[in-house]
Amino acid sequence: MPPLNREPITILLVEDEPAHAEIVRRNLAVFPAAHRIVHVEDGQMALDYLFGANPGSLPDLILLDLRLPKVDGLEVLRQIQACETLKNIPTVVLTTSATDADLAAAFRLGAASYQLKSVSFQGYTELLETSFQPENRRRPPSHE
Amino acid sequence: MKHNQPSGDEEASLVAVDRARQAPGTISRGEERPVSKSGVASGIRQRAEEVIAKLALANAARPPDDTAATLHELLVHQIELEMQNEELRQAQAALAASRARYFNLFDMAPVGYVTVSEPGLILESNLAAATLLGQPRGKLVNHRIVHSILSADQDVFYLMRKALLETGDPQSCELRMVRADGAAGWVRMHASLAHDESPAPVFRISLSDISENRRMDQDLRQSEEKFRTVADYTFDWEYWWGDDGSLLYISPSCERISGYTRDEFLANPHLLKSIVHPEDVDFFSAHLDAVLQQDSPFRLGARLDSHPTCPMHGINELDFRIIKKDGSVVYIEHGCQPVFDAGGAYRGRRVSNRDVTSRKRAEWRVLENEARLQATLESTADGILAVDATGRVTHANRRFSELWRIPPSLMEQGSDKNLLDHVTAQLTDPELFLGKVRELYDSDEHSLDTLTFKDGRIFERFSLPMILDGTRNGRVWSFRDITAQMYAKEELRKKNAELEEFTNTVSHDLKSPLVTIKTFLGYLEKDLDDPVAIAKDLGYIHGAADKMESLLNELLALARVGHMPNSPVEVPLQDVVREAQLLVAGQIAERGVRVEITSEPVVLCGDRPRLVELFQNLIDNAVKFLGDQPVPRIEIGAEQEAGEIVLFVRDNGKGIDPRHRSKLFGLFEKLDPHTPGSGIGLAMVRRIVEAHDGKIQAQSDGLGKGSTFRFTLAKTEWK
Repeated sequence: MPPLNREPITILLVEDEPAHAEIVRRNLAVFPAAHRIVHVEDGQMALDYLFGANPGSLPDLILLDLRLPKVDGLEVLRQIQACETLKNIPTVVLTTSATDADLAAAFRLGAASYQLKSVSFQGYTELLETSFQPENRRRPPSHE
Repeated sequence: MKHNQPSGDEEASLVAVDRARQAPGTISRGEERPVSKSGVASGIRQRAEEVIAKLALANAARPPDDTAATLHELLVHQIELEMQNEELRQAQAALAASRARYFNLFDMAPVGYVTVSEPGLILESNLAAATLLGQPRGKLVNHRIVHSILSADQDVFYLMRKALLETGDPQSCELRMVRADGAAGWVRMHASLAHDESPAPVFRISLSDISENRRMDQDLRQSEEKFRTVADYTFDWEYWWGDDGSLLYISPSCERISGYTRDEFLANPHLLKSIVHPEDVDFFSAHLDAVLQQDSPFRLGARLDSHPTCPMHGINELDFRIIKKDGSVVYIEHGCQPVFDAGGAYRGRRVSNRDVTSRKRAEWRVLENEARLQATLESTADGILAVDATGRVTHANRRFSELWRIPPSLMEQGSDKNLLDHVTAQLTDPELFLGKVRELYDSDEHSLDTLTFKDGRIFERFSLPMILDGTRNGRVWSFRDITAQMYAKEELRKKNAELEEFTNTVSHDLKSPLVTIKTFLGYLEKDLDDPVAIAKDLGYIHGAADKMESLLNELLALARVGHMPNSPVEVPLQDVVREAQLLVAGQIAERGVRVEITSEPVVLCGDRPRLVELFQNLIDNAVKFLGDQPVPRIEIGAEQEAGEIVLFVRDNGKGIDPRHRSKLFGLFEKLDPHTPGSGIGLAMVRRIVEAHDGKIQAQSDGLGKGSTFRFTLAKTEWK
């Protein structure tokens, strides 16, 4: 079994839409391990959390919406990737469209993967497992 | 000819004969010579008697008797005979001298004389004749005269001889005679009949060498022919008025040019004036009068050399039209000048008329083209500059001066350098401009580039070489102000980007509640047994549906803002702000905000309901972001700034994080999720400002320092 199924991890959820946050929570509830979800509602709060936390309490995974109040998701991603201590945390981008320019930009900035905010949020298990293994992090060729 | 007249030489020789008679050794005479023969005899008798008397004195002793008388008579007779002999001898000597002189004269005469027998043999000739025929004189005697006549001309001689014999009257003719050396020369023969001792007549013929005259005649004829050829075959219509106004000469080319023949002009001296085009008659007549006036001193006898510096004998020129015989119009270039003979006497006026119709037509076409070009150049919206091969400006249209803001004084100076300095000083990169100019001067290339001005203008520069007869002799540059176009393009690009962003935003923001609705519908199906969970799910679904509705309403509102259904009106700023204030009176009162409006007399111009909406949104936005300010205040005013009136809405609220400033006016951008509203307010504000040709920006010194929205609206005025 992959670690996600066995050990609880800390997930930072950056999402301004309460309904969407609820959906993520429900999807993560299917895992047997009781993951800890830290939910923030805008980009500024996400940065404050990440840069204010002591190293021991950093999240193991970040789920990041791109359209966020105050500081948008791409800016948050840029700052994460610019920080040595944060850039290895896998960051999954949450989006409503698989084709928009924001998503491409997110990959250029180093997003580990993306998750469509599709109707069913299918495939969370797979998503989390692949994203959580650093050697499997997806990077667009342009970044190399 | 001289030989028929008595010459001074003959008179001189007669005097010489007289003098010979009085030569020493002859009997001297104290008295006049007897005038008659009997007188001469009685004179001799008397002188003989005087001799006898002298002898008798010596023989006085001898008695006078018959014998003595007879003896005396014999003596007298003897003496008479002796005296006669002496006189005869003297006469003979005089005769011989005279004859020698005569032959001398005959030989030395400059005209050749020959005496020819009836059959044609030369009996006698003088030296001149021998010289003329190139023969020694001795050889000419018994020489047949026809042998010295060129065979082609021998008939001339025979005809003359015939006439001479028939009529007996002297005859003359001209024929060519051949010298002994074979050379032929023209000779004039004059012959008359003479009857010497012999019964058969002889011809006395004089021969004059007329070769020189003949040659001169021929030269004259050739010369005349040459000048006539020159005159008659002139291309232009040449003529010569005599000093009495008569037409002395007119070249046949008059017919080609005017359609009238030379004879028609010669027959009617007024013909020329009568065919002058009616519109040109006046100045043609004026010309004739002027010329008449000019020549009058000469006509009255003044000579050219008496007016050495007088401008009157220059060439008078004039252009006029004539109506040709076939009715067509011919343009004439007319030049005339007085003419003088070698002695300086006035000999009338020489005129040359040239047909310049085709040239005039060509000139007209050139003028027409030039006028068309000028009109074209001036009617174009582009600035046009033409330069020659050396870079000198040959033409610039008015638009060029306008575009480059060239003052008329600089244009008039015509200094290429000053012009270039003026032009380049306006550009952001003068070297680039000049480099291109230099590069193209030596090239046949077309060029198209853009120039950027320090004042922000942008020109498109196009140039073409000017090719004349295969050779590059200049370049034409055209300049077009594409600033507005470029800004419009940039504007369009921004609008497109904005539209794209708008579409993305709308798609995102509408999809987001849709995702919520669909997902929770799925949860609802699973939660059917749990009433609490059902209520929770339905709550999310309702919330998402409400959000969608509100988004759609706002989208519609925003779409409407782009249109301005109401015609623009002028309205004082204060009126608009008060109306807007009423619409947000609830929020203002709730937060206890003091709203201050300037009392400056500013008048806005635009769609009134939209202007109200603009201020409503700005005030509403300010109220939302007042934060925990204890003395909230919103100030609305206007100030003059760089040629335009800037309106502002200033608050002392939370201010703006500099990072957010760019996103401030974006659609559905909510910078603070805890404030009410959808984030469409400032997007609407921007659209309204832009619909009124204005611009808006937000200023803030940072969080907690308040914010100011500054914007312009076209046609805002102080009143």
